[in-house]
Amino acid sequence: MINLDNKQERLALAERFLDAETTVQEEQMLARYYATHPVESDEKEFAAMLAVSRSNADSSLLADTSEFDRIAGKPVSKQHTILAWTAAAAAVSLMIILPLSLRHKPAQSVMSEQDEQSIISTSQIMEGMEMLSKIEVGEIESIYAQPTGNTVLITLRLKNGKEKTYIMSCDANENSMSFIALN
Amino acid sequence: MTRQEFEKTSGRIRMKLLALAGSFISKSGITGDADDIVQESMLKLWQHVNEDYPIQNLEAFAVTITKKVCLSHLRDNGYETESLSGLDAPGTDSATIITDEADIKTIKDELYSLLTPTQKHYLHLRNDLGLSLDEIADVTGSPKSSIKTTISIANRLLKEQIKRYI
Repeated sequence: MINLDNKQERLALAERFLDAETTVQEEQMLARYYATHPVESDEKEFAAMLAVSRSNADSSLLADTSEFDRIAGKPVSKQHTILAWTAAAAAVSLMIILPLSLRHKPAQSVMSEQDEQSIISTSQIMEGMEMLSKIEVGEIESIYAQPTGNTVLITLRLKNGKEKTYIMSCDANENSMSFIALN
Repeated sequence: MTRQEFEKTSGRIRMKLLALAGSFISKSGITGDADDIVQESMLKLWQHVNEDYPIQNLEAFAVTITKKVCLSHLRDNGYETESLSGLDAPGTDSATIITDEADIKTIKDELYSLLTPTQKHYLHLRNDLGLSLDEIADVTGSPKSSIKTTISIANRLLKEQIKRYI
């Protein structure tokens, strides 16, 4: 923990700020220190420069996003990367697992490599259902997924009796999922 | 980026942002609506995209802004707040030397006129939006080392030039 009352540590942190090596929290600590303490003559330039630099700061955005990742767990993008690798590794078995687990049987024809990559895995469908369920926190009664070729129709039945349907598709090359709301 | 391009891209990534915000709400236990967070994030995003700064990766920018807005909502929910009442604030010499807001704006405008557009852009992302070097690299598509050097040169130039005003 940096002690800003110690001048050596304070100047070292100021140097790190100039070199863009400080974290958001460290910069906030520095700004708060100079705003609440008398500034020594050899630090006036830095204190003024810091105040000017941060004068347009949007305080609602000055949080360190690592805190978000800590609370929310793995970032979504990393989850997708893992899913993409899982999908690639299990490309052969997916054709069997999908019809068994989701009652949908793809056409028994010779499939191109591109077609195989575009099949949505069970784990990806579960991921999609989980994502959609989080959007409607506390309002969902049931979720139903129906694979339709390279996409999946996910229907959310809400407690107020309404239904919302989304078309889910995956892009293995971009490690991304997309949803289109139908209603 | 035109408004039409922005709307097209933001429409495409909206579901991802909703999932991100929804996941955060459920795991952090805060009260709030994912839709509101995404709406607020989109507004902030548009404000900064609209300032003619070159944004290479709007999706990365949107994700970062959404994460920050989520954390802002977390703070608003009373989590990890810190009282300022115990701080030692002697209040003798002016801490920031330049205290008047109008003065600061004038000085900032004059100092920033000495910077290149790239320096101004990086300082905006770093100081105004609190982006880390990695996040700036994601948003702009520039190498992290180059961003760090650019910011460092700009900071030292500002520190040198601000002597005129003290």
